[in-house]
Amino acid sequence: MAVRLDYVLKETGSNLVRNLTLTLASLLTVAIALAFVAVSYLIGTGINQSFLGLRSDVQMFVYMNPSATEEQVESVRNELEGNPQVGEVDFLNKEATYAEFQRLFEDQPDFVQAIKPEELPQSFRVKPTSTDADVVSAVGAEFETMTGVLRVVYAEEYARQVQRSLTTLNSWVRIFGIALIFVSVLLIFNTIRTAVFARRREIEVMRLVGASNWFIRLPFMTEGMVQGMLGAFAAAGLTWGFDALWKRNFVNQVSFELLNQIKWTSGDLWTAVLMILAVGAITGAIGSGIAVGRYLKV
Amino acid sequence: MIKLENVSKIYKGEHMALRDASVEIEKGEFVFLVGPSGSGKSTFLRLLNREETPEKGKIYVAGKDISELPGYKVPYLRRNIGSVFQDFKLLPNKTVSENVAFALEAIGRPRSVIREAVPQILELVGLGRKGQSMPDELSGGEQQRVSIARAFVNRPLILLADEPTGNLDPATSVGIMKLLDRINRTGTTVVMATHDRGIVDTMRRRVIELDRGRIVRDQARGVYE
Repeated sequence: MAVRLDYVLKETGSNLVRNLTLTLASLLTVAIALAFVAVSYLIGTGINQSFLGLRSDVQMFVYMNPSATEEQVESVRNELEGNPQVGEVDFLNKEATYAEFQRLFEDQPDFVQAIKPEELPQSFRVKPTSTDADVVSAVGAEFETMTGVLRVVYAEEYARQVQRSLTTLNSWVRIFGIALIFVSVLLIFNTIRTAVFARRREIEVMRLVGASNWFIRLPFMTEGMVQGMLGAFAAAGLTWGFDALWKRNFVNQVSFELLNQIKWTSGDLWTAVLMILAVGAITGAIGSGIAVGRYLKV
Repeated sequence: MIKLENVSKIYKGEHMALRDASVEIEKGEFVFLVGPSGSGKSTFLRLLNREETPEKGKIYVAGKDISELPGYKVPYLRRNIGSVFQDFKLLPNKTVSENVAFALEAIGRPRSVIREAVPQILELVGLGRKGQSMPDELSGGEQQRVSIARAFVNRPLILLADEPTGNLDPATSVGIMKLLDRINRTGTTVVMATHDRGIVDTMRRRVIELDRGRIVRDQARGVYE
């Protein structure tokens, strides 16, 4: 049996209007929850991107023995350039090495003082292709054993710390986002259950006169979908507002040391909006389908 | 039209609402179900439109064994069975016309059919001018007429009525019974559960008496007791 489209649309529309207060209340709660989902997604993305900048700073220095021969230096250079884990290689002579050395270890003055510029070896400044701390230290260990190499220095702790805090932050944002999606689903589901309960008489009559289960269910499902999407649209508006506010107040503002690093593209904004639209529509439709199911048991 | 073979219905594993009931009702019959409260009259009716399924026995409606009917086919069974209740079960936020039309919309009838059938059936039940009224603007008798119109608008083979006059005064009840009688004369099988002695004794139709789930009497042109 074909379900008439005009019937479904008429029922959906009149039910949304009839339960206006309930519709509005649920719309608002859903909108706020979904807006939080979108905002947490944006902030998560922003954090991710700001750390990407930090991560690309990870460098490694291969110091040559001061007594190393030209051939040894050449062979290390060849090795470095042939290594797939190595991105860029710069050769630094003694003076350049000392300047770089001072900059890198300015927080360890004992170490810096212990070494005189003339004692300083020539070095290669190496940018590994991977920022993974394990990969960096593996590459370092490999070159440390080559003849003519004095030692390999890399900001291992720094790399590890960045990685650790990045992972932690990321998982927190993700957990928060998932919890919020869960909350929105429950909110939509609950509102629709109330609406269905208010109309159990109608469902009873429909069953009595021989309406098929899908015929009963469909208007409720479109109603739930419309409700979820309306909530998501409102949430999209809130998200846009948040986006504008954040961009005006924090991004590239010198006074906010850390927050100004957290930024996202308009593509990310679209992803967030489409995501909450999908969550709203799908949970609305499926939630009401389940909620009606309780009253369809023969 | 309707046939029960050794049907038993047990609620919650203890209370036996119907015990080993066997009965046959022909097409076009008018049958009263009588008996005290809790004797199984409502269960009898609920088994016929598959609101309940029996624990034992077989139930045939229009030649089909409905105790074996899969769930998705139940709506199609119900399109052949109209139901009328003591409390009318009208939708309070729809007009009289909309309440009747709802029954046709719910089974996907085209709008042209609905536009024609609704005024026609309202005329038949004597509510030709009340189409735009809301149910709460009508008397009890009129509300029951609306509910009968809704049950009959699809011209079902069978009409089940569970104490349709239970909330009505005797004079109004007579009107309702005349209407049911008229529907019965169109060839529709009517099964009606009732406590109304006066109605049963006046109409002199087949009477099936139930007592604690058993059929204790089945009498053509019978009386209440």
